[in-house]
Amino acid sequence: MKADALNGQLEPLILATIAEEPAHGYAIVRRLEQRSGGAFELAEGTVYPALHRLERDGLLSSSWSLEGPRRRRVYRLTRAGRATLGERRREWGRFAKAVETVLE
Amino acid sequence: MSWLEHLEGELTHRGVRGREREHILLELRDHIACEPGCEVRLGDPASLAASFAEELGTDRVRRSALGAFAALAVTAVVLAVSQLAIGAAGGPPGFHHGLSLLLFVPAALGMLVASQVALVAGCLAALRALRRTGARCLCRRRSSRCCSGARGSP
Repeated sequence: MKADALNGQLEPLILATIAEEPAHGYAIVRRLEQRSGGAFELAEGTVYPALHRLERDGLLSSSWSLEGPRRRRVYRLTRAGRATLGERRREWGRFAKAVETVLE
Repeated sequence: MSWLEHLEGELTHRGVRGREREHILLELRDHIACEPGCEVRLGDPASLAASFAEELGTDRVRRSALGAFAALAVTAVVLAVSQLAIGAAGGPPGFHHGLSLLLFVPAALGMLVASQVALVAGCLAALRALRRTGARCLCRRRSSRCCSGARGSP
């Protein structure tokens, strides 16, 4: 699946990925890959500006943690992020149902 | 030149500097350390730097607008206090007064300085907003060109 097909969907996908437990950038990218079965042809770097955008919008919060010699930025969902994720899931459900109806 | 050095150069070129740039590089350095050799999958450093510059530009415009608003609010308070102070001093005094002159001089200075600060803050906010509008227009033009190209193709 080309990256263009993900237009506007990357943010809810990231929110869903972090919803279970907080994660750093690399873990988020790997989870996205695993949960999609490697379906998205995504430049992994594009996840980072999206993370910054979500944090700026108050949907994620982040903190630096020290793991061995490395400093890592760990992202977690805020209350607003959780609410937005629920909303986007409902929207997507309606959209997918409508497209499926037309295609069938 | 390594991928990270390329990204660092691109970020600097696009005006992302200081702590913001360090944080971005730290995050991506950690990503690469998790899986050495994954730089290709991270994408083109120039495109990534452009995305970050776009995001941070939005932040700066927002901060600038808030700063201008705060400066205007402070100016309004200073002007109100100045007017009250001048009123309490019995109106604008002559220069021979003792106490009223002490009140009048800082009040008048406050009126002048605060309005200058508000003017500069407002101008900077407007300038950043205009730059941002220009960047957005460029993106729209680019995307419309892509769309027209797509329509024209067989």
